Amino acid sequence: MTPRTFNNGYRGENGNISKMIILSLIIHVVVISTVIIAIPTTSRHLTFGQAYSVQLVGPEVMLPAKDTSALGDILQSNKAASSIIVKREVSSLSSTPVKKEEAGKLTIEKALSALRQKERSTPQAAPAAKPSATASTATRRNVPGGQSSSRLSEYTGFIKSRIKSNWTLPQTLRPKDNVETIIEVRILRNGAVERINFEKRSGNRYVDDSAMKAVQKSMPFPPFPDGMMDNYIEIGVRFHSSELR
Amino acid sequence: MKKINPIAALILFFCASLMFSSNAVAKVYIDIDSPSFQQFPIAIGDFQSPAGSVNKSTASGIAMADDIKRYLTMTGIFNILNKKSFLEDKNSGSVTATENIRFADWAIIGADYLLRGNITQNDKELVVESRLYDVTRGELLFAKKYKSKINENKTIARMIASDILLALTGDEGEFNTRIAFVSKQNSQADIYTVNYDGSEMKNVTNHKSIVIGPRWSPDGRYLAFTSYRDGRPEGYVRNLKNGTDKKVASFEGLNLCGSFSPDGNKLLLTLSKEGNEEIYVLEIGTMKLTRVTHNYSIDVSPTWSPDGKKIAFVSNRSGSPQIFIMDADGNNTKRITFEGNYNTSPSWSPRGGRIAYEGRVNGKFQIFSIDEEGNNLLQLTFDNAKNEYPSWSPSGRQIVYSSKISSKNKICIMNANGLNVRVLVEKTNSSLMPAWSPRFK
Amino acid sequence: MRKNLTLIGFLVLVAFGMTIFTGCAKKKTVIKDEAIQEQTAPAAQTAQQDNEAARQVKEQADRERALREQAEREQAAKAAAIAEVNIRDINFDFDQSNIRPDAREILKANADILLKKGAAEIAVEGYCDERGTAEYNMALGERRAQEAKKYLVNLGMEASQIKTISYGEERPLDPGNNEDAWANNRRAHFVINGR
Repeated sequence: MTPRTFNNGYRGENGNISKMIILSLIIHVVVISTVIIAIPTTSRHLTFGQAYSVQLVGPEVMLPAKDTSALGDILQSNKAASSIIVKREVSSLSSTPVKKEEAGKLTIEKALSALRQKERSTPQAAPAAKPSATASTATRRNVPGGQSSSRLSEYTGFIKSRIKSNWTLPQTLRPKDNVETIIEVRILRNGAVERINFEKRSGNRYVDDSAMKAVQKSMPFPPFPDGMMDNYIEIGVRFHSSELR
Repeated sequence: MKKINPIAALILFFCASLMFSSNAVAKVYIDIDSPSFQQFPIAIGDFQSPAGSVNKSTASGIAMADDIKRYLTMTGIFNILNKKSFLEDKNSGSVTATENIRFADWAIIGADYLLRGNITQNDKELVVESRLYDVTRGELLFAKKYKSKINENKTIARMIASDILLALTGDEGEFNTRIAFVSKQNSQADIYTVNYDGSEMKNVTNHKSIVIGPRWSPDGRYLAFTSYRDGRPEGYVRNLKNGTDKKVASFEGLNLCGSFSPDGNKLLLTLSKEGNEEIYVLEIGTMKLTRVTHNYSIDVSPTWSPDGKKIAFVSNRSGSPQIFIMDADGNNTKRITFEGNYNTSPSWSPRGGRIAYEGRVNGKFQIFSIDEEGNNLLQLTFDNAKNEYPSWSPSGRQIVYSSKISSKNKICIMNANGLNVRVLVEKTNSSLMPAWSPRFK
Repeated sequence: MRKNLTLIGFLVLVAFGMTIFTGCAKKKTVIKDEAIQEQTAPAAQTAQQDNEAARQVKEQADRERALREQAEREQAAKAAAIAEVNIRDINFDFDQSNIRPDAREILKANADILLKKGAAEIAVEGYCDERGTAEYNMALGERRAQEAKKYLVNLGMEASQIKTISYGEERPLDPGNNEDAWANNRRAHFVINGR
């Protein structure tokens, strides 16, 4: 009797429950899609920001480049997965318990990547983290914390010099003012380019054409080095046409 | 369970989304501040007999390719690849369908562009077909056929070079222009004109007196200049078609010709008939004269802006010769040169925006360019010579000027940034005061 | 030595001045123009058939020419008389057209001579040194000539008697490339066309 009642009630509640489930599913879908869209973008900024604001290393570890790569190899084979997860958690939550746990090993990684960043750095300084929402300032830093990212910066450095060596633009075609063209490419693990297009046109046809040509002549790119765990990377190549004379 | 579900699902989806996003690194930007090269690498194949006959280069085909190479080299923006480095063998060298070209062979030797062509000539006419390819994209940029009378090979080579420039830079370049200049021995001078490539020099006047400052009309049919043929400085306009001179300024004192207005109806003059060197505008049709400067100082060497609204000129009203700009009616006079104490010979770029002039520095004269506001000063020549009388090309990309080392002047051409200097005219006589013609149709 | 040179120079310049003024539209020179034109006309006619008529016209022109040359000789003699007393050049500072104190003295002396001897026409020629731009130097030379003319007018000469002409950096007196040569070349020179 009671079970029946319960059953009845349960069934009745079942009907309600199914409605609730449907409702909650809808809410979930909405929240999740918001999350999927929002979190990747924000996590980038915070990742980059955190990489520089957390100065776990006192004096910089002075290691020659060769050793750093070897060290990197050793470290990253152990740390790859955990470092990524650590990165994400740090970015999204305010507390950093996991990070402190990994502090010791992360210290060296950070030192290495900071060192590589300095060796390779172009005039972009590495200022303290700016929690700014604009992509350009935040992503001026090529080196996110972590071993994979130092590999990445090596790879992007190579790409940069190859594209630059393929960029031809007679001075007579340059506009009077400094203009900027941005070509975005999505490079796959094997170096092939899945997608290439103008992220931003300067408005000057010759600068734009020469920029696109420079990237096209540099394709295909070499495959990702060991240590870069990503399936693909997106690169925005910014071409500036400042007058030299 | 109800309450746990959403939270658990949320966390699960959260982590999942994070995992997905973590498979792609955030977008990285790299900055490239300047190009490595400033010249388009282009491969130019010897022109062939057209398909059907034996596909081989002929002497005229090789000459056509060589002429085109020469003209493109003059622009300073091409790196002509040495044909010894070409990979494709000669048999496939003629103009073929785009799909038959192995662009990879050209990309490997570093070519961005490829030019191929056919040439046939018989007793009566010359037919040339040429195609330009973008090697990186594997695309045909243009295919064109040219016909002319026999022996017009160089003319066709110039047309092909112009079309290449037009396709790659949006401007057909200067191949269809001439330069007028003064050829002088002691105090006997006359005006000559010469092609952009230094060929076909022609004697234009027969005054054998002091002659200065030739200036082209916008349609290229007239030259204005000053001559002392009749014993005093007087202004002349010469009709180049029928070879007649017309005296347009013969007032008391000084008569110096300035430039034509962009519409060709007016001529700027420097006259001293009212007791002082001032600038006047002469309407050529009616011979009506309007005075434009009213200043006790020397005002001389006037030249119009390309839109006809302003005039640049030289004045020493601030104590030394400097470049000034005023409205075409004489209002709003503004000094634009402040470096150096002797700046003269202004020439306004046909693209607008910049004025070239000569300025004295360390006792020598050098060519400078400056924008219309007086900013962005650039020195263009640096050698140990007296560099004077700059005149812009119609595209505004090149400047012709005269250069004097020791006692003789010669005519030189350079890019507007000062690079790629070549000598256009160097004779036993002194060659000076060049003026660049408009484009001839 | 200097006087002789000046004398020869003036003779040459007077003859030159003659040819210059044939171009001016003035009453006195109208006759000369016609004579010149008549002189060239016979040349054209001889190219065609009518020799006899040509010969007659030529004789006529020759006669008139002889008369003119006679007049020229007389005037040259007169000019020579004037030129016996120095009409000197004046010099200028670099890039300047103002009359220097030393130049003022020379101009006063020149004016005295010219006024006394009744020279009918004078040409003042302005010159620059070879440095600088040819067009600007044309203007500067003209200005120097004008300043000298103004000064002479202030001293009593008639403005209508004085013509100015600039040669800029052309026809230097001294072909050297040094300060002395340049200083000599920056000058105003006076040509008398006495009548």
